[in-house]
Amino acid sequence: MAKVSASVVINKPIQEVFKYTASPVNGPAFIPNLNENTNIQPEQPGLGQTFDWRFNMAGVDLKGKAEVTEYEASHKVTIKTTGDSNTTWIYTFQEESGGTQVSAEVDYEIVESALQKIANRVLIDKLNQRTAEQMLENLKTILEG
Amino acid sequence: MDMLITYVLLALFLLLAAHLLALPLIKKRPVFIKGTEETLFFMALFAIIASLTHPLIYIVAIAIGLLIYYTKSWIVYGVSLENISTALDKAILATRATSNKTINEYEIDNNMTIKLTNLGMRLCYIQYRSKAYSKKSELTKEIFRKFIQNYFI
Repeated sequence: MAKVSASVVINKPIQEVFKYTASPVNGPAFIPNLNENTNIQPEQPGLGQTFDWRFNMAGVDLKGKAEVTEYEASHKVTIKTTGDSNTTWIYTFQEESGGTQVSAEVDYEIVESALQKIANRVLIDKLNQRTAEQMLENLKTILEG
Repeated sequence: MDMLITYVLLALFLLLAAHLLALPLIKKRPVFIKGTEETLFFMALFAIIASLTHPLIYIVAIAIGLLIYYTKSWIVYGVSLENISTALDKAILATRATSNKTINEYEIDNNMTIKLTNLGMRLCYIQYRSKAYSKKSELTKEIFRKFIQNYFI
């Protein structure tokens, strides 16, 4: 398993930042290369919520299912994905001088059949680190703008 | 020499056509021609016509290439104008951008104007004009692209 992480301070209240980030509906808006989250069940975010995802990595479509495995309102949300890529997304939220510090940690493992389509493993690791940083920059742009 | 130029242009055009047209169509997704790829695609097409007909058409090829490049437009095939408009509404909502809408024209974040034109036969022309660089407008544009490409044709 490989790991990438990033962190950002967003000048908005913790409840607002958490609510936006934890909703799978908003995922494609701030996660670069995440094309869509569909079949979201139930609509309301919370523990046990499931959805289907489709991600584009270096031109290759990866698909699978996801489940919210940890949900502490305004503090932490963990999402586990299975399919072409097995990942664990952990978002943690902390109040910081009127704003919110959001940290994202992604553990990922691309299954062999999907990896064979994407030739360079080193490139993928760099791409994923950039994706994590870009994701939080996008989140800041959306919520603060 | 003329034949060599024609073959090189034809090879370039076929490669671009495979990348821009065949790949999305195989996946039953809309065809998206934008940016530098769009410029090269149309320049190659008109240059082939020029090499087979009259050299003056090379000037048309360059003019069309420059026009497409500087108008920052997208050409989308396979999705109706209504669906494209819905995708843009969703993108605006997702990025919490402000927008003013008139008929088939949107102003995003008081900065970027997006004009949607239906060319018929599920072919649409999307044109962008920005007053200045705005991160939010660019993000909205990127999400708009994703939402269009999520449709099946």
